[in-house]
Amino acid sequence: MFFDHLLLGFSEAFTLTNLWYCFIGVLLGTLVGVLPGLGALITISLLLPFTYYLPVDGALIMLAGVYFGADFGGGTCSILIGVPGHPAAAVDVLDGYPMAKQGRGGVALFIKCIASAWGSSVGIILLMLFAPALSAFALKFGPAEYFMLMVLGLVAAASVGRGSPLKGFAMVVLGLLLATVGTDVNTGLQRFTFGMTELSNGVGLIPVAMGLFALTEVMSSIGKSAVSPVKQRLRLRDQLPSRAEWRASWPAMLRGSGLGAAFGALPGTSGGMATFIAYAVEKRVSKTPEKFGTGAVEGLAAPEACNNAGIGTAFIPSLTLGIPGDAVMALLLAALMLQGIQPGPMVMTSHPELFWGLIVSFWIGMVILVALNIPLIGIWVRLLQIPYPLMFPGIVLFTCIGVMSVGNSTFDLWMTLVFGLAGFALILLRFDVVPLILGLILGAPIEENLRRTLLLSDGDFGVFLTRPIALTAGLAALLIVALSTFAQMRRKRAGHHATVGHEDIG
Amino acid sequence: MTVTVERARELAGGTLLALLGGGAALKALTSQHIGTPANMGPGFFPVVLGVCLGLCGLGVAAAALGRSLDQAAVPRVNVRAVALVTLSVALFALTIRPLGMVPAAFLLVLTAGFADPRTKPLTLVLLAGGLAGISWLVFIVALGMPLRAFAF
Repeated sequence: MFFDHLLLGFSEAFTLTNLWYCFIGVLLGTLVGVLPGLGALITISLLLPFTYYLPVDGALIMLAGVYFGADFGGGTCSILIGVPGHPAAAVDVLDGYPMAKQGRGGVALFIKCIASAWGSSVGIILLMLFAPALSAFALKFGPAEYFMLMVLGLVAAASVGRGSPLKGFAMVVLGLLLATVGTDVNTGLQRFTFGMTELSNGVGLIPVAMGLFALTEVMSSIGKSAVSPVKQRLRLRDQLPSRAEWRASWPAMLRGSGLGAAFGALPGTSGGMATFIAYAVEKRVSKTPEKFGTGAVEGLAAPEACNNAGIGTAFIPSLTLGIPGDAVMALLLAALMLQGIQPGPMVMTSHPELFWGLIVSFWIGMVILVALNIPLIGIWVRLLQIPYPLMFPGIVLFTCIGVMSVGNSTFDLWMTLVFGLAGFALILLRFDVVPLILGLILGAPIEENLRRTLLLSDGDFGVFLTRPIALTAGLAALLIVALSTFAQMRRKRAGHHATVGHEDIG
Repeated sequence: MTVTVERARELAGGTLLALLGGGAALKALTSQHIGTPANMGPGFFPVVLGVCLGLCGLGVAAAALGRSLDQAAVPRVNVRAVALVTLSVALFALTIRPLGMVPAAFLLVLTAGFADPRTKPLTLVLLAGGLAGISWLVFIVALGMPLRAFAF
């Protein structure tokens, strides 16, 4: 059975078009990952509308390739410039940049690449093992289970993110509220449309994502001065780590990938939180913790393996339950929805070729990425010098064309602008906009499942207590709220609160 | 009680959300059928969410009043960048129908590009021409999007 599926995946991924989309995805991903100021989130937002013009498998393969590629490339920027290309690569600065300053940048890039490849492999293997079982299990879920699992996902995303859990929760609710705009599916009545016919189909995901992630990012990044990369010799010979470096990094990669795999399956752990935990763990188990921050390879290997293992396992809840754990996953599910496929456990049974083709293309993508990142690293390093003033007008342009291409309506452009400005204001007020997009994407299904649950139980809320899976999910959500409130209070008392990680929105 | 930047920011954010949530709940209450839990009307979920959002906003504002806060720097807003990016998108929205995509793209890049004062005008014109050309090739010629390159 398993091999039949794998075979199906191979035949799907090894078509010429899908190989091409995979290649384009990882290439674009590496490119934007390397370029400072661009990352997976903004790129996937930009590409999302265009995927409408591609076959659904190709679209998904390409977007996933961008995600992996941006991650491989993101570290390059951190290591050579000392400024993270995107939040998930922030931890690479700690030891990668000192290594580059010591002239060991080549080794740092090599270790980063190997650790990423190792972490990704672990994540993908777990995805292959657990996703089919979980989705078969999830087919038995009723609306009560779905409702509670979505609540759990949203609560986790709100609490574990940056800043205060209350503000994260507020953003989730705002997203859910935005999702109610438009025609109510049960009654056909208009909600919050204020007489605008354009709003009867609801607030589009694409204008919101493009506004919040692309325009907001551009508005806050213009004018920041560029930093030039540390000069490095990057022949293959300069990249090979010494025996001691290998010995130090292997166990670190193992620990990091284990941690990342566990965290990745939980929603809301994006933005590099798990990577900092992996770093802290590594420092604690090390015999020479004083070397951390001055160029310890373990401090680079563990977080990278952690991050990539998390990417693989993050696909598990997204593909099996249709519950995205982070903004990138939300956008990947949006790509499916654009193509008329409703995410959920049905996807794996009704479109097995989609899932297995995606899995096989992950492996292909990884081989391409290692090839792109080790022998060809010199090319990417030269790209680091492209000045941002020449890039951002292009980002704004592709945002606008992308928005136009989906609905061919200028109304969507105005919406994008409104959300860009709103996002900018929210960032100024120190709100994290990522939970908002999760709320927006889960708004319709969560309302639908709640209505159905209570219709079946005749208005009795006790139904959530009698169904074990729903109850467990609900208790887990409560536990997360309690833990994060406690952590927040302790952080407050310790005096240094919420000063890290707010400058970039991911 | 001193008014720190951070306190002002949290108060503003909290109040904004409280108003937004309260307004949404009120609007749903007055214009939609609420129904009962067993048979929810279209207004039920929005009212619940509006109340939740309002409470979150009040919570954020109350937390800012209740505790001592660290000093934070006054956030710097690059007004030029925000204004010109906004203007460039608005221009694009206004010109894409009457002029077509290529001129609209050219205008957008030109306007947005001015957001960074370091870029020279000639560089900008070349960039605008190049990007307009590329987007014509990629989106209209290659991807076949239903947009007109030139409307005249």
